[in-house]
Amino acid sequence: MRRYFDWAATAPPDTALLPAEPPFANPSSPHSEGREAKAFLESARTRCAAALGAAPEEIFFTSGGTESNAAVLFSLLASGRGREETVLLYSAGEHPSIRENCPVLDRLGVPCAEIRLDGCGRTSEKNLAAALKKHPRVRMAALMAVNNETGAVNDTEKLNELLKNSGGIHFHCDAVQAAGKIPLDLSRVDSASFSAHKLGGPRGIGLLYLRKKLAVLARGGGQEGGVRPGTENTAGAGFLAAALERRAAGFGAARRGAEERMALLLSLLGKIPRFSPVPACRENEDPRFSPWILQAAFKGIAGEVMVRALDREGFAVSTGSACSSAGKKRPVLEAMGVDRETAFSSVRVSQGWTTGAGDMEALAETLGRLCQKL
Amino acid sequence: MTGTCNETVFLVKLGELVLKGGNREGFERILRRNLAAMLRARVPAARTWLKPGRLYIGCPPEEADKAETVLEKLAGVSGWARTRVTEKTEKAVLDACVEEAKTFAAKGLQSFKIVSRRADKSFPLDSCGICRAAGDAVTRAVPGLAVNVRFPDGIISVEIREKAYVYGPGKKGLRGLPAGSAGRGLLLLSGGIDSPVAGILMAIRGMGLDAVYFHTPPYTPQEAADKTLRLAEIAGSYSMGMRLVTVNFTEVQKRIREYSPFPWSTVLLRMAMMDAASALSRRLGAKCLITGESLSQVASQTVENLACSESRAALPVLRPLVGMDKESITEFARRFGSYETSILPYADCCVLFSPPHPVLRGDLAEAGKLYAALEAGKLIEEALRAAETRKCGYYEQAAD
Repeated sequence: MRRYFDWAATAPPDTALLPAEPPFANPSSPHSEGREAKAFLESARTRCAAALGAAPEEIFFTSGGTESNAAVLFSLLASGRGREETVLLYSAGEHPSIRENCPVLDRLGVPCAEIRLDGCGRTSEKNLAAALKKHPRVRMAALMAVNNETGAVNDTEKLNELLKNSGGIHFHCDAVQAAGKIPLDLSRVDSASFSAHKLGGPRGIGLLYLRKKLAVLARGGGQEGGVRPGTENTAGAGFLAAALERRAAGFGAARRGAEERMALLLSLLGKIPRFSPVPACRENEDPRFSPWILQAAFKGIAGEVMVRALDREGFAVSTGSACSSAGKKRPVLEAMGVDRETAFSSVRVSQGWTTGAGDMEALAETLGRLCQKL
Repeated sequence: MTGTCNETVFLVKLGELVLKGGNREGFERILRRNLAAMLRARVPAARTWLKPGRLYIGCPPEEADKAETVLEKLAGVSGWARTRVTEKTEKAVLDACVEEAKTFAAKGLQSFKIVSRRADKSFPLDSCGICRAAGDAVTRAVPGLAVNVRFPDGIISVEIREKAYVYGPGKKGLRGLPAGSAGRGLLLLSGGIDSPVAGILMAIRGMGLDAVYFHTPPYTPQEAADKTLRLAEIAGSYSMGMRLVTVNFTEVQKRIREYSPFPWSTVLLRMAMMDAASALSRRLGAKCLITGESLSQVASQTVENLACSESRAALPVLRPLVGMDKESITEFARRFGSYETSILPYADCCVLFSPPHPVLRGDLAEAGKLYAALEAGKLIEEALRAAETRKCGYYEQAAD
């Protein structure tokens, strides 16, 4: 029996949510079939908006989180080039789809600056305030809602307050690990990224919440209001809408369940001498962290070795962002001040809505056994 | 047997084996056997025939490129050329020379010379006569191409044997001796750049190969073992196939980590590998061990540490790369086609077992004592008992 603990990378698709017969035609076509497809797409948009507490005109379908993030970041190229002052601030904990694009923007004439993380892996108001003081002409800040490696939750309300009080700076939030998992109030951000495959939907579809339209670089047929040109993924949009609705409907119970299971796992892991949570400041039932993600270090055992050993025992976990697991470095952990040895011996455990308490017990028992063997 | 007009004929020059005396026939037999097996798998329609000092391959023209890929991996040949086969008449020979010269002109060559060999003395022109007549015919027929006997851009060769053969510059072969003509060796193979090259060089020197790979799951990934399997396929394609024995060395490594001073762990691991490889050689019938070690390339390859690891070897240890630097080895790896696989990013040694400051000049007596204290013999025996064997790089006959 396999037990899956890599939900932060991809959630198993909830195929029951797959639209039965999505219209095939191009939503831009001027015939009945096209109009039917357009109606289906707009219905999906409305459903997504309702599930997220947004307006339909604020929802733009994309191919996923990475494209949503890139669309917002690269909008700065249309208006921010040639300035000497820093234009974009981003936290050192951002997903590679933000972090890796910043040096590119920098080279293209959009100066970017990194905000340090605090010891708990969050972007603190203090660090943001210091960065804003140092870079007074900033126009955008990219700060994620939930860190994909540690589960650290940023206080978006307070960060937004600070940004708005500093001259109405655009707040872009990578909400990929937050949607359907922790409370999310989109009125606190100016734009946010979502990905269907973290929600039980398919890969290749996501959305960008955009309160105010941004200048875009990529041009094409003008679909999605020009924000994301290209023939729309109608079936994917329907699947994403259904997934978001499912997550919204069961939100309270799912979250409580995740909290209970994470508390159980942390209490069981606490009995393993080589275990420590990453960051070390994480406590059991700690509201500063998402209950869906745990970064756990096992002293003296390389993370990738633990991943392989668990794999042989029937457990799927990962060492960090699946998008960058080919690289050996753990930049997010290092940015939090986690020492190299701990970073090197860390694995990420992420749970989902079908994870059970028995799965947590089995995982803790196996980890305890492997800690004695390895 | 000779070539026909509707096939491409390769004239293959035999390498060092032509210098052999009484046992030359044995080398030739192995070479032909190797070539036949390779052609059966890759170019079933090809045929071969042997003449003194020369081997010929005839194949349908559309299969000629494939035949060439076979020759690129055939140890024991010094080179080959695609050859025009004609009747033994002066006109036919001169026409073939002109045709060959036209290909020179098309490539932008400006000068040429004719080299001829008249093995069949009944041919009316002697060697000098052939050269003069062919040179004259070419300069008349191909304007812009001049004779230059001292520094020609290209050479047209004419051989008058059972047929007349005319060919331009050919390609260089691997040289060496036919794989399998010089006994069998056991290659200590890893996923790196060096050991596949060491194995291939020995195969080109005539050695039949088997290989052993030590892996340490879960400390090393399955991808590292898969990568080594691919390297064994590549090395095996030069040695007419090899058996790859994969040995799980995790318990041995853990024993070393637990019972030895950390700086010594790499040297002790290599001693254990030599122990295991020696035992395995007896089962496989190998007469020597082959490693990709290069003097002082890394800490475990200083002359002192090589002496420590070799102290556990029960057979001669051949190190064809010992005097080469990394650049030369990499050049070989690129030429043999193993480089791109070797640089795939899957480490086959976990950093947990790699000391940050390894012993650089291990004392042989101390190494012996530390190794004995490990009492690793039983663990090695168990690891060998559970080892898995795969066949790699054999030229299997293509299915219809």
